Amino acid sequence: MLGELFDEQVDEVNDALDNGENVVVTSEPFGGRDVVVEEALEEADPERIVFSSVEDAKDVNVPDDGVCVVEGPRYLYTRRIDGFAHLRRFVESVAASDAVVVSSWNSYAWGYVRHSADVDVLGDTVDVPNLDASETARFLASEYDVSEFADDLEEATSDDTAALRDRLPFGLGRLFEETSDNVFDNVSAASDGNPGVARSVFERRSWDEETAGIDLRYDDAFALRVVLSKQTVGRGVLRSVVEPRSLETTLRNLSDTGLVDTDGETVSLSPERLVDTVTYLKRRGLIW
Amino acid sequence: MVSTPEPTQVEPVSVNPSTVVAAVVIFVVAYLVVRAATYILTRLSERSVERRITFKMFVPVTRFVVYAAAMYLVLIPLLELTSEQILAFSAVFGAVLALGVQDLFANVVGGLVIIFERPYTVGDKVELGEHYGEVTGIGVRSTKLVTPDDSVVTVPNYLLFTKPLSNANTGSPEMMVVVEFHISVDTDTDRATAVVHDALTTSRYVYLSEDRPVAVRVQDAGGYTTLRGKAYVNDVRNEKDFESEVTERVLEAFADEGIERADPAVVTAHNRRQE
Repeated sequence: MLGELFDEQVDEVNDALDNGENVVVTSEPFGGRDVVVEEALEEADPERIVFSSVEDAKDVNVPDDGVCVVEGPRYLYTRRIDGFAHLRRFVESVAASDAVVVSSWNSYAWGYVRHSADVDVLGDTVDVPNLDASETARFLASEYDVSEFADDLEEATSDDTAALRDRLPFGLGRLFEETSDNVFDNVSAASDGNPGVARSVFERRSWDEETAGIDLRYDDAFALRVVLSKQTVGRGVLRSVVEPRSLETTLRNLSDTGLVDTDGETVSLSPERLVDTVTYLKRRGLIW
Repeated sequence: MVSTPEPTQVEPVSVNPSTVVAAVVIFVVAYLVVRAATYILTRLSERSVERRITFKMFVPVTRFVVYAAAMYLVLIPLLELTSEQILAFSAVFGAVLALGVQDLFANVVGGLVIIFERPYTVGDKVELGEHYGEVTGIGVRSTKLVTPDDSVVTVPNYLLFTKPLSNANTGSPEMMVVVEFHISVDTDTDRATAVVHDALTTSRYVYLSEDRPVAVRVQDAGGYTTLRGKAYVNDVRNEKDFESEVTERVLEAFADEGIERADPAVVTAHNRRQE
């Protein structure tokens, strides 16, 4: 179902592959870029390079030819002096290869990297958009039993309602969704149309939950910015980019606000608080 | 025979207690409206770095419009000036100016120019004369700056006409910051440049975009090499933190990697020669 909603982006990736051009696919964390890449490469039998942490993003071996998918390239850099060495090596190896490289990027990591390093060789960007309220409703209906919300579903997927709401300027559509009695409107507002976040909000039935305002120290907000870019990150990496002496305080502050989940040595973005996280970081000038 | 014109009969202005009360009420209401508008705009502006300056821009304009409206409401019905009275008033006003309040008048005109032409606005980082800081208030007579040392400086508005004005951000939340490092001519300049570039790019305070790139320029200063790093800080209020953070990290990396800094005596001697 999600693949159908991203038809346009799948076509764009296929066009790049047909032309033998590298392409960057971006979305928000949990935003569905992997679905787009999988749909586009269904018949290509690509070679895969998967980075799941900063620590394992050291050996970069792009094949000489064929199609190569790179997952987790956001782990190729860290925000410290010399933190771009692995990314530069990766870019050089892509430049030296005849393979068509499809790299799948967290949009907040890509937004930073494309202004920080010369990554033009990775190709044009295909940005996976967030869903509107009607699409969110159809997507959830395809994945969950939503029979208890049948009336809401019918209303949310009605073309007239969706079209009218999409045309509202100045974020009024979002305001309408927030104040609506329709469950799918509320989920759409709480997730901002991000499918992974919508899933999480729907499963936890948290669309009505009021969240407390966020007020963090600048260093905490910066650590949150790093977690947003990585989605999941080791404490060691955070220690190297924020003030090491205050790391534990920072993590406690972030955990207390519910914006991140800490699990042993890793810190992860909390999906149902992604919208709050992004809104807050934009306000602090940490997302441009 | 020359005929002398009859003197114009000037109607006495009638001021009674109810007029005074009405005027006081109008000014009190205007004051409260200004306070409320300033409070609301300030609260809204502090919610977002991106929109802070936009909201604050309206503070002096609102103040001016509300007080001007109050003055109009009080004076016009009260005075009901004829053209002769306006002429007489102008003559008196000219005389008063000549008698020594021209500075005040220049300040008021400067304030109006600042409000309507906007060479700077609340939230900007400006250098006006020898004063540098963030503009926190623009009044009819003066502008308030908060310096990097957190001192409040009140600068008369007429300085706008007599002193050079430098505005670092002109209404944007971000501004360019320049950091300089002096290294020995014998050290690895390429590596030092890369360190400065990385320190700027990875700073927690940096702002990056297509038209806000990071750049490092290498200059031969004669006896040592100067690296000038330029980057934009995400919020003018973080200017000094940005400088400090980048400097600290660069110097630490220089020390770790054995990048030799220029002899301070050579740099000082060079600067003296430049002056």
